[in-house]
Order: sequence, then structure tokens, then C-alpha cells
Amino acid sequence: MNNKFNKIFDNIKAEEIIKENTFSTLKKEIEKRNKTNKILIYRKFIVSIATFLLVFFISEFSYNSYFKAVAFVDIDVNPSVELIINRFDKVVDMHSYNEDGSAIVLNLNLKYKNYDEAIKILLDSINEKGYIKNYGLVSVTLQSKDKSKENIILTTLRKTVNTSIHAHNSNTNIEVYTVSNDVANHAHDLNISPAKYIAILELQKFDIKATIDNCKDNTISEIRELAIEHSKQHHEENEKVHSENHH
Amino acid sequence: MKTEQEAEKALEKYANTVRKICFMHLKKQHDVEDVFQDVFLKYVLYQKPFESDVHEKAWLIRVTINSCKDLLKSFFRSKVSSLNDVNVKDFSIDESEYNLLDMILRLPDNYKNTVYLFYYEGYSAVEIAKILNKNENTIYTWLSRAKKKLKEELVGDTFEQ
Repeated sequence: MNNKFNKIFDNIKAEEIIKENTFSTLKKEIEKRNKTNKILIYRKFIVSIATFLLVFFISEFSYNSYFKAVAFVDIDVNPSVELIINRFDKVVDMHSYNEDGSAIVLNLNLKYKNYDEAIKILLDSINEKGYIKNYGLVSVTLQSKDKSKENIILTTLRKTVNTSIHAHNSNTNIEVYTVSNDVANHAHDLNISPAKYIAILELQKFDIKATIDNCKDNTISEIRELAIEHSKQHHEENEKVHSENHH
Repeated sequence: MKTEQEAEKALEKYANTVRKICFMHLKKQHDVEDVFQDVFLKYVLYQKPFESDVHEKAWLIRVTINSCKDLLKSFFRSKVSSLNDVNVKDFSIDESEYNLLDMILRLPDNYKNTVYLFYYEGYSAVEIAKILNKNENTIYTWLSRAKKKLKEELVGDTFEQ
């Protein structure tokens, strides 16, 4: 380094007051920014939590809203299947009451389809497997939680079921009707379709030995035939007793 | 962001360097304080790590030169253009050096910085080019012209040994 330059510039030094003032300003600035950073981090954390909760509740609400059951359509041929329908008329779940029903449901993807389309596909599949017999019975029940839509769904169901069944078997008997929440709930508790439950209750009026367990594997047609048979027997016995009393 | 300790350490280490550069460019004491705060605040807020002390010092020199330049852009700020503009007595500079110092202070700003960095800080022309973000040839030209000016003014005297 040049000696003359050294002689000049070696003596030029920062004054203590300038250093102190500068350090004091830096200290305040560092403290202020650290505080701001902490607040920012805290705010970001709160916003993240709030956003998470909002998304969570919206998702939960949307999910629950979409998947909430509004109607239950039970189809009993012998495969016994239930479709659960949402407020948007879409199938959101399926349930089978017996092995034949399980076999049908396993191979079909009816979720998120409109219920009329789903029922058509279901009945076509049941028919292909030979379950729908000539002069057989197809029972379809509707339990609707939204009474304002009940008639619309019922009308659509009747139309769809009639069209689907009669396309293949013009002699098959079809019944489509609504059931109360009570009947549907009892049937669900017993793991049988509402139509079968009603049929068994009817049989039990004439045959005290008839139970849910010993009747549930029969078709609805068979249960009703039994009910008619027992009703005739019951009537004949009553007639006999009445006649004996007169003599 | 750097800590208080790092800020204090940097001030101790580089305050004199920053002051020397301010001495060459700024007339007023409060302008010097403004540049000090500007330079060291930038240092504290600088996120990237320095490769070495040499890198750190070169960075601070560049920021100081630029801060002085920015401050002097203002219409109301006036720069040092001769010995009359500085309080020499505050720095215990020998009177025998007043002539050379006056000549240095009369140089254009770019020449001032170049001769200071070359003759006092000991940087090469290549290193000065990096600090001032100029072409190497520009630095050689400035150095040559500065030396010529200083020699012209200091007839019979030398500043190089």
C-alpha cells in the first residue's frame, strides 16, 4: 500500500457517536422486525388453522349433504337389494339382504347414477340371471324422508319398473308402493326388505308358528301363498267350530 | 436477518472503512450518519451468506459507494470537491499531506473510489472492477487518468513509492 495514502487514510476513523447512533438504530430495527415476524408467524398460524377448519367444515357439510339419505328403494324379487338415494336423485349407497342380492350388487356399479337409471340396470341384471319368472312377483317399496318428493319418486319408480320388467316378462306381477318409516326401520333392523316384512306380518296373523327367521329365505310370493293357505285353513276351522256349535 | 451481535461485530470491523469512503464524498456529518445507517441496515437485512470476510468487506464497500452516490443525487445535497469541504482537523491528518488529500478530493468520484481502493485498500484492478461493477479496462483507464492528474498537480512531488 502507498505510504502517503496510508498516512492520510489511517487517520480517518468512524466517530464513536456515529457508531453508537447507528447501532442504536439497528437494534431498534432488529427488535421491530423480530416482533413483526412473530406477529406475522402467529397470524399465518391462525389463518392456517382457520382455513383448515373452514375447509374441514365445508367438506364435512358438502360430504354430509351429498351423501345424506333422502329415500330408500327396496327391490325384492328374490335377490333383495336396497338403493339409497340422495337429495340430488343419485344413488349414494347399495345394500343387499341376501346372498343372491349380494351377488348382483357386487358386479354392478350403480353409485352416483340417477336412481331410475340405476333401477333399470339392476332389474336388467336380475332378469339376465333368470330370477324374474313368468307369473313371478317383483316388489318395490319406497321409504321417502322428503314427503314433497315422494309422489314424484313413486311415479318414476312405477314407470321405470314396469317398463324394465315388461320388456322381458309381460306376465310378471309388479307392485310398487310406499312404506312408512316405522315399517322400513323394523325391516332394516331385521335385515329383510320392507315388502317381505309386511308379508311375514300378514302370515303371522294366520300362522303363529311363522317367525322372521324361518320365513326370511322364502320369496314374498311363497310367504303370501302360505298366508293364503293358512287363512283358508283358519277359515275352514272356524266354519267347522261354528257348525258344531249349532248342532 | 442478522442478530444484534452480528450487527455490532460488523460495525466494529467495518465502520472505519465506511467512514473513509464517506469522507471522500460527503460534506455533512448528518449525511455521513444517514449513509452509515443505510449501509449497516442493508447489511443486517441481507439474507445471503457471505463467502468470506473478503467478500463481506467488498460487499460493504460497494453498498457504501452506492449509498453516497444515491444521497448526492438529491439537489439539496452537495458533495466534497476539495479540502475546504471537509473538517480535516477532526482526523489528525498531517498538514504535509494536505496537498495530496486536496488533489484526491478534487478528482471525479469514480477516480476517487478507484485510487482509494487501489492505493489504500490494496485491491487489484480486476477486484476493483468487480466491486464497482465496471469493465476491467475502465478501471485501468480511470487509474491511469487519476495518476496522471495527481502527478500533474503534484509537480516535483510523488505520491507513489
